[in-house]
Amino acid sequence: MIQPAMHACRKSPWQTLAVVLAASVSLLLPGFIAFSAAAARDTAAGWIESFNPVIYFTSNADAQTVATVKAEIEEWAPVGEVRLRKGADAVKDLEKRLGPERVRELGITGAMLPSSLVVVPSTPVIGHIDLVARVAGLEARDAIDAVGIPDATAMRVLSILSLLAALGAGLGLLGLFVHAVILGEYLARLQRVEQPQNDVLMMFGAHGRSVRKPTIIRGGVLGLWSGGIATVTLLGALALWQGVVSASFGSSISLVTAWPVAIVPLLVGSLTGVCAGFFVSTPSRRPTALVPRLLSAYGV
Amino acid sequence: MRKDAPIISCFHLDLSDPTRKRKALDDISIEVERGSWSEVVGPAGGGKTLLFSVLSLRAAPPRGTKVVVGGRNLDRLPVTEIADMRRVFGSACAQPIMLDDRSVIENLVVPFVVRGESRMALESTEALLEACELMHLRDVCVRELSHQERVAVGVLRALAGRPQAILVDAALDALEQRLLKPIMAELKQCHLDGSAVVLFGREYSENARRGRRYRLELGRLSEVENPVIVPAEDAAEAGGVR
Repeated sequence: MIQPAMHACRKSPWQTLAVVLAASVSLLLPGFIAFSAAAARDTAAGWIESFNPVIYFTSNADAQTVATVKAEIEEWAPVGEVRLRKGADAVKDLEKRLGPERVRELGITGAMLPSSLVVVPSTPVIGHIDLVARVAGLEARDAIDAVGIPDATAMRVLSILSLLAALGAGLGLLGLFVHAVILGEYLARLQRVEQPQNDVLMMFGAHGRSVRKPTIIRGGVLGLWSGGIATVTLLGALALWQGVVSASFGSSISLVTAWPVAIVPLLVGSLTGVCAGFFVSTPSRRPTALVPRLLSAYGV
Repeated sequence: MRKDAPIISCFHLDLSDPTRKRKALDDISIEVERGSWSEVVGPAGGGKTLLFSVLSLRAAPPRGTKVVVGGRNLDRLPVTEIADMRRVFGSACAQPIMLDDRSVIENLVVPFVVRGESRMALESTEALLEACELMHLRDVCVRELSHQERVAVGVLRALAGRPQAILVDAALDALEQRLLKPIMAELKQCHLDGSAVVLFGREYSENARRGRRYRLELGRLSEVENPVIVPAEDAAEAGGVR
């Protein structure tokens, strides 16, 4: 190339800035949706996963029945472990929650509390939802007095948030497409401006790859810039969100899946830019005045 | 490339023109020997530019045509090697594509840059401008050149670096005597130095007797043994340019 790849962008800085901003918005909108859903789902999932379902037996349930139910639950796919909690263990758990003095005041002893099974799930949230539904079904049995499961509304909210996260991912794909179109159009325009230069270079034996390279580099750099703007904005929003959560609930919540969502635009933006540059610079899409009308009509 | 093979050969170049419902090029076969001088003349619309485009490798030939450069069949070469083949050519046409926002000297060094011979580029192009009495245009922006000067610079760019084959399409037809004479002298020098020269135009030049002469009319190419050659001065007086 005669000029550096970014020279064409520097020649029209305002236009380049407008394209980069538009491209970053196309990455930002789906990013926000996916990020919000992921952050909210993280919070809900953290709460639900820390809540293990408990199966309480009636006082007249014998050891044989308890062992049979335990063996049955252990066979379920999303179950990692089933712990048998005898009356004395239940009192200890109660003491941890209420304090030993309060339990003594209430006069609760191990003999008063029935045996129960604590189910520890082995799968993340989606499997957890299935497990909760199956545990809820056990309540109909004679030997089982009650089941301790997360509130149905919380589960429903979690399902909706999961759906929103999936929708965000879908919108993310749409955003990527829009991002690629915005960058592709701009790259094609710059390429049209550079057509005489490319023609001269090709005429004297420049390789196709050296003519394509500036467009691909430009695509990567513009994609990186737009992805950078989107990432910085998303990270700012994420920090704000965590601040709000901390202030509202008085504790910091780890948003495990939300952080990668915020960084994705940077990687995906530059990759999309490179792909857009690669696509628009293919010989069939590159304008040229070298071929006479009749030969170009034949597509040769 | 083989040194004993013709610099460029083209066999069975056949191209129909659907709009005019006739053949634009009719089974044309031509061989250009290394260091030879060839001229192809004919009326407008005869197919000279199409033949020029194929022979200068500006356009890929239609299917069924065999183009051989330095003994290497282009059908069997990957695209990158075809680009390498273009480096042995210098070509110019009547409407040269130039870098309009660059100076004359910057345009003339492009072939050197592409061929990776940048070291000697400046000296060679300055010598070329000097020889053609166009040194005063050295730093002039191409956008500011007159049409004649632009065409002349286009032809000089084709000569830059003494390529193995120089093809010029109709550019010389458009040049006035003042510019044509030194450029023809430089072309002759390139030919003497070993470059093959192929000129496409309306009339034969004074140098036509040096080599092979062809006539391309209605897409048909025929070799001419004894051409009518109008001396340059007479042509200029008659309004002709060569």
